[in-house]
Amino acid sequence: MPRDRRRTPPRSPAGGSWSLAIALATVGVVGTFLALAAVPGLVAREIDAGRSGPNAAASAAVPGTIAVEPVSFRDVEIGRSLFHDRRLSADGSVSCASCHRLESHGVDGRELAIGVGGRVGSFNTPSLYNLEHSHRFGWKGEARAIEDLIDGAVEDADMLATNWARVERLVGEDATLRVELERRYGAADRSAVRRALADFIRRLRTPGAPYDAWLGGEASALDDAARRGEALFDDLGCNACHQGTGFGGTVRQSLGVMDDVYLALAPEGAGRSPIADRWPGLGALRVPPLRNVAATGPWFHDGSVASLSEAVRLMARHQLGIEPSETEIRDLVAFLESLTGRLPSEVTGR
Amino acid sequence: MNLKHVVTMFLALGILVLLVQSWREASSLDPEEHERLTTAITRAKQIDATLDRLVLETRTGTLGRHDELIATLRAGEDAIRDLSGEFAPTSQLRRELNHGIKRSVALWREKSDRIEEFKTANAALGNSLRYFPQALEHYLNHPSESDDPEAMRAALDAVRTTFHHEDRDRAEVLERLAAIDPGRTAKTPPGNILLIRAQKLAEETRRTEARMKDVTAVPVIKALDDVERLAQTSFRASAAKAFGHRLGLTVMATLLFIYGFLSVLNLRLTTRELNDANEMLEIDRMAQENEIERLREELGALRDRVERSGRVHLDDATAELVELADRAGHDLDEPVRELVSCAAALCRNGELEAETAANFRGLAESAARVRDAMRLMREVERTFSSEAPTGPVDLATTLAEVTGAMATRLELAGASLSPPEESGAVLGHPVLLAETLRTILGAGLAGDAPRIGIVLREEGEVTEIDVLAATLGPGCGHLPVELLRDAAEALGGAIGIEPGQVTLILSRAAVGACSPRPTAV
Repeated sequence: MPRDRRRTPPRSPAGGSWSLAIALATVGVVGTFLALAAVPGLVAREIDAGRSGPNAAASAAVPGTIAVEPVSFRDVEIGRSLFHDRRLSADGSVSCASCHRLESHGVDGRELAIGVGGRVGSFNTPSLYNLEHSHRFGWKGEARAIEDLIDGAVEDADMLATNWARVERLVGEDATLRVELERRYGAADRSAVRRALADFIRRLRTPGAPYDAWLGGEASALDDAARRGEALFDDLGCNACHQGTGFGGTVRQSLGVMDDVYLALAPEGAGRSPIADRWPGLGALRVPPLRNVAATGPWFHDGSVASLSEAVRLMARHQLGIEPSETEIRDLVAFLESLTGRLPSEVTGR
Repeated sequence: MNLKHVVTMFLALGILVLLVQSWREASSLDPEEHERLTTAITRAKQIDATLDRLVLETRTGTLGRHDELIATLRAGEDAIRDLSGEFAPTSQLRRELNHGIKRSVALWREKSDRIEEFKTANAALGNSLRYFPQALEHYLNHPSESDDPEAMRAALDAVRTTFHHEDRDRAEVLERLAAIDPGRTAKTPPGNILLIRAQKLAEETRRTEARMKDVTAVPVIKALDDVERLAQTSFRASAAKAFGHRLGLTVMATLLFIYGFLSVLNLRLTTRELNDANEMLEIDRMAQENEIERLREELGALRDRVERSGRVHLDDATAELVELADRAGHDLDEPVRELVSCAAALCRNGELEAETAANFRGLAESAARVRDAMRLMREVERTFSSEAPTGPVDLATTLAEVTGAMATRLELAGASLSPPEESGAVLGHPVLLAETLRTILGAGLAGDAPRIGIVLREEGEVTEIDVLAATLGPGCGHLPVELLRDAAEALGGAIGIEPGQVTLILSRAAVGACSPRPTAV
């Protein structure tokens, strides 16, 4: 029986191929699954979103004394390394630690800070310890966060006098630094450097001050003079500005706020002048924290006062409008000395 | 690739783009981001309310330390940082939302700054309140007639309004107090101090209250409410849009799934058709092979018939040849011998003329060649009539025997013989081979051929010899060419006759096939 040898070639679906058909079927299956799975979830989320109310109360925890647990830099080593890295300055001559000497309670002991190329700055070096109890930062209180403070230090011509582009380039060229930043902060850019330094600075604390021990119930931690000074500190009104756990750092105030009272008290012809006239146009300053104040002289924003007693006297005159006695000043100084805490063992090596 | 393929490809590409676009639109909604935003707004609103309370408590002295206020401000900074992420401005609502967030952040920062100013003023006010009673006590203990009564009355009014909260117009009292020039009116230190402290108190009170109003006047909560409302509206709009896209995506995906399913089904059917076609082709192939086998068998049968027919003809020819040889051998041998003897005798007598003697000698030689031919014919006849089977015959041995027997004639004739370099065996009859060789050698010696050769050639090189042309060749007119050819073919070879050359050509394959070792002659 003769057969018809001329057969029509096999016809693929829609003129396409196996792969196209399978791909379309797969897309269809996956798309259907995703769409069907997503829609109920979406509706549920919308319902939840409509129902969701406040789920977190405002945090209003009151800070206590300086935490007493030992300070460790183990997980902020990268920030510590950057803090001591002179390459961050424009000419490689200074680092953050050049002025903020950790072993000297975060200050350099000079009247004014010395930056790149020996350039003398406009302000005394403030301590970086216990900044977690401060609100605004910098002598003027211009920085809202420690990160802003770091921004200012990097670009200030009197400090590191560099810029972030250069810092990023430096980080990019240092493989170890770059890898460590990426591992810890997910990037090796200016934001990571800023966060690393800020994390390290936040870790700087000086626990174990006699005043903290006294608050904790150790009556013998303060001697009589210090206890009298503590009472005077409140009675005289020092704590109107120097308040909070850090004894300052929470408010800004003008120097000579009671100058008019002080002048009214002065005998005629005494030749006294308002302290505000000493720094015309200075404006309000951040009230410096008094933690470790006895160890961070010279005092005032320009380091112009070499004696803590003299600083106390000037503050009483011009900020309170009173003239304390020598005994009162000694007691106040004794109290202020009781605010000096222990440096971290990783700084002192002990 | 034809037009149909191109259209299909573009169709698939278009569907893919449509799916991706729909998926992108459907995925543009980010519920987590919305939750983060609403949570941050709620937190910021609560913190803002807490701040207002703390500011009030600070103002009234209920809150002695700033720690709680600072902690709340810090929490507010965190909440605002969470809030400040910007949304992709994909719609007008999103743009308004971004604008609202930016405004809230700016208002928050403004409020934070005003709180700083409030704290500054309140700190000074705190000390003014602290020292005013002391100044008053000092003044009361050291009264002086030179003091300005109006000024002292104003200072006392300040005391009442400040500490005893008397129902007076406080602003008016403070304003009156501030208008007094202490340097002009107060002549003694106690009065001077009281006035200065009272004026300081009045100034700080006014400033602090103004700062507190500044703080509470910042409409952070209203801005946050606006952001929350916009966020809800934007989210609902986005949700509706995303829902539409997902629904469309679902429908499209379902249609694609159905299409793909049908396509796969169609492919399964097509595969079955292909299998059927393959099976049919296999059947066709087997039928063709059977046909070829049948034709091969028919060809074989035909070949057998032809061979049988040829063998019959050959047998007939052989019988005729045998009969001729027999007759020649028995009937002509004696007359020829007598003729040769007679011619030789006449020549020996010497009485004949030279020309006649030459004719007789020619006659005697011709007769001798006839005898040779007759002898060959007899040998052929004997061979073909013999029942003895043919077998391997050593060529070298046979040639040696023949040349040995004809050594004298070869020497006298000065003929050259080219024996094969290597001997071998040829399938045939030894007598036939010897006679063939003898005939060739004899003919060569008697004729003009100076050389007589025996060569082995490849199968394809054994060419057909034109017997007639060979017979007419120079020096070969006396050869029994057809007999020689038959004898050579019986030996599996042929003869070659060229001017000056008579050659027995044997096939190398024929010699090699029956030889105990491959040889070349």
